[in-house]
Amino acid sequence: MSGTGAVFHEGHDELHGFTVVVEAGPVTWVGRWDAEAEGRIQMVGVVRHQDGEDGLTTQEFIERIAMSGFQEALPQAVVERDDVVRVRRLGDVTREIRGF
Amino acid sequence: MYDPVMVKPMREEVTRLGVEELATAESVEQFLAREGTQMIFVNSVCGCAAGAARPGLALALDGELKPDHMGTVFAGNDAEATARARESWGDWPPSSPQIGLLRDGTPFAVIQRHEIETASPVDLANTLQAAFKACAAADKA
Repeated sequence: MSGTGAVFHEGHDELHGFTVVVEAGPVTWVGRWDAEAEGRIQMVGVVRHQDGEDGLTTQEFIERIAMSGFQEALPQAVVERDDVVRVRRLGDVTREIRGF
Repeated sequence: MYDPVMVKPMREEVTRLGVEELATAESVEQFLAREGTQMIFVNSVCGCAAGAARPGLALALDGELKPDHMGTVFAGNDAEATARARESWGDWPPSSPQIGLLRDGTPFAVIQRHEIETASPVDLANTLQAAFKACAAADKA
């Protein structure tokens, strides 16, 4: 993970406050990382996508959101850490796609 | 709505760069009617992302290119102006902070909060300069 390495709020996780992409098998969650505790990731201001939903693969969904942003669909979500395959900051995904 | 006294320094951090304050929907409307490249900076109190956005904007405006017209609205305080600005860039969802680039009132690109929060001020300035160049080049095409 690249970036400033700064922590938004003292006493919180490194990812607290960042907009992240959490891939959990066929389901992808995008939203603000709040905290991780007892094997669960808590997120706020979230949108959820199932692979193939709206005619978009997971990759296409992530690329679309990285380039244009997203409208919050759920005020919060809890994701089981054991289901999670990958966590990335959405801003890093945008930079990777755009090249700067 | 935030305490106007509290947000005053945040507004001034942007307006002292020569960016025009657009406090009403009417002022945004008039701004969008101008010809050429336009930038609207959606300012906000969020210390996490806006704290890097304002210095990033300052560095960008020290660079080679600037939009022909530069305006700012304050999310959370100038609600109608912010809504009108966001309406102007159509399908891009709202975020705070946010930076919209337009040509003759037509949206060209929007830099969203998620791009700002992971960037240092220098990174953001580079992104904005690249976007200013692309917008200016498209303007001439």
